[in-house]
Amino acid sequence: MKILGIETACDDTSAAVVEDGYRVLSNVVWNQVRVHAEFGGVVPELAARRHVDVITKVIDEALRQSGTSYEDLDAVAVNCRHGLLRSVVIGVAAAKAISYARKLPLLGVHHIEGHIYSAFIENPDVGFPHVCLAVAGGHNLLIEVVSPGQYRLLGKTVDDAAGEAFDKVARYLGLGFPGGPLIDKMARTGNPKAYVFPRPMLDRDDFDFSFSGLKTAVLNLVTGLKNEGAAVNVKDIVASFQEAVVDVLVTKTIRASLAKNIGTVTVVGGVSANSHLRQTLAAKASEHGIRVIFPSLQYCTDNGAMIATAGFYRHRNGESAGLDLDAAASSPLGSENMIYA
Amino acid sequence: MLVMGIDASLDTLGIGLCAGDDVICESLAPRDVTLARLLPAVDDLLARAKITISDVDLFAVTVGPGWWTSLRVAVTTVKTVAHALNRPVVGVSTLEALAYHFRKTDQRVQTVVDAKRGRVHMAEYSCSGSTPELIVQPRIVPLDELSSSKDASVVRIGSFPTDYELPSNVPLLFHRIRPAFVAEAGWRTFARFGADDAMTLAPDYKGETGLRVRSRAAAVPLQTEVDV
Repeated sequence: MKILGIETACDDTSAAVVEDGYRVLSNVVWNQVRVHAEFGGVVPELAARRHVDVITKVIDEALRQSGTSYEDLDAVAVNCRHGLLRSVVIGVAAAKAISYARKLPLLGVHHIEGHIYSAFIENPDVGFPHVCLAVAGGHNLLIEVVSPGQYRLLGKTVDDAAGEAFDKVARYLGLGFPGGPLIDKMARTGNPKAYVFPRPMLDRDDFDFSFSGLKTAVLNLVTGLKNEGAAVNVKDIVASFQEAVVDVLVTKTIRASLAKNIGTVTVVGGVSANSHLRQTLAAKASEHGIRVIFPSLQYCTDNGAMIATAGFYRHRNGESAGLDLDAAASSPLGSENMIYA
Repeated sequence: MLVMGIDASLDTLGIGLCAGDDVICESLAPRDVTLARLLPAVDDLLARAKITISDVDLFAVTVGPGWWTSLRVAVTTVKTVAHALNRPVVGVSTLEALAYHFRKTDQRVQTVVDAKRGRVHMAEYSCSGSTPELIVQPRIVPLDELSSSKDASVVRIGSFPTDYELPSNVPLLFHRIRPAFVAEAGWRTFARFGADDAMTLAPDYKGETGLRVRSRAAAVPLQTEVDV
């Protein structure tokens, strides 16, 4: 069965055709980084405008690359929950239009649910239950994925998401936008032990996170160095900052896996592209015999394929949405122990 | 030719169905949560007319000026339906759709849409023929200039700021967009100029969000960004 997945949560316009929940026939992403780069962050009104400008082209391209036409589709899936509201509505409007015009089932998917299922694209055998670390610019959660559609919140950030801390530190150091990939690259030649930054909430037994204080510690250090007229070694600072973030994410994730006695961990969302996080978590997990799954880079950031895959599992559960489907900026995820993301 | 016109640009949500310039049926409701209400309204109207969406030959939609998010929902919905059914789509100016109320009356009409922050969008049409003829291009006018430039020979209609005193000589319904006129305007535009490209059709915001921001965004070439 072929599902068209549409994703417009933030600043990427994406459409994909996925067969049977894992065979990606196309995955087109129209990236807006150049629209927002000069502002150092995503401008919601500009993002919404660009989504409308390109949405039809992106859908058309996804169909063309997959060699399918509207007649060949079995359903349309869309992120209708979570993101910038003005952006989310564009994807939902397009998905509903296709569903109505072509009489196809409409599947409303939560953005974070899409990320959870991004791990299934290349590993359909992930299995249940598993622990999912979902970490990006807008969310930072540890989730127990009980079964398709059932999620239990283990922990979440009490302030900033890790991706947000990456972006803000990068912006403060004048590195550019988005900060994650830039810091990742720069940190490779820096000394991660040069500075000792706080590991927030690591001493607590729960699975919550906090990155706001860590971000401030970096900013204070840089401000102090500048005031003293001392040299600011950006490479060492970002390497030490990244070390602290990764340390917290890895430790809490391993701890959750052991506490829940669940041997499979997935890491999804934009920050899962971070090379240091990948290496460190893989090494730590193998010490404990835990299986770790990272989606490949194209499925870490926002993409239509993960939405189509999540939609596939919803469809298999017999779910579908009506013509009155609305969009939301945030809403509960899952049916058991609702997660507010 | 069966034409569907959709308008969610101002304070009403309207769907009109015409065969050329003959009205088949139309619906008009207060506009509220355009995304949730638009397609159910379309479906209701088609059911009433006992036809299906794939019977429609041409789609028309008001592209602005108007409420940004609502314009985006309407334009995205209509162009995607048109693309999915391989039908032509035409964008209609909100200001022109308003002027249709006075066709064949020899009346000069100024049509107005609130631009917020004490300004309005305004255009002027001469209405002697079957289509309004644009005689003053759409522009943004400060509200005090609008209030001080009243001309008895010109009718003013549209969506005004709340502190503007509405002209008393026109029926209130003339300040709303009639959905059948959107369909008809689309049909006439299509006959004269052909269809718009569904791939690129977008709302006409009339530079309403800081011009600086908008012009820079427009300067980013579309083609080079595709990452596949």
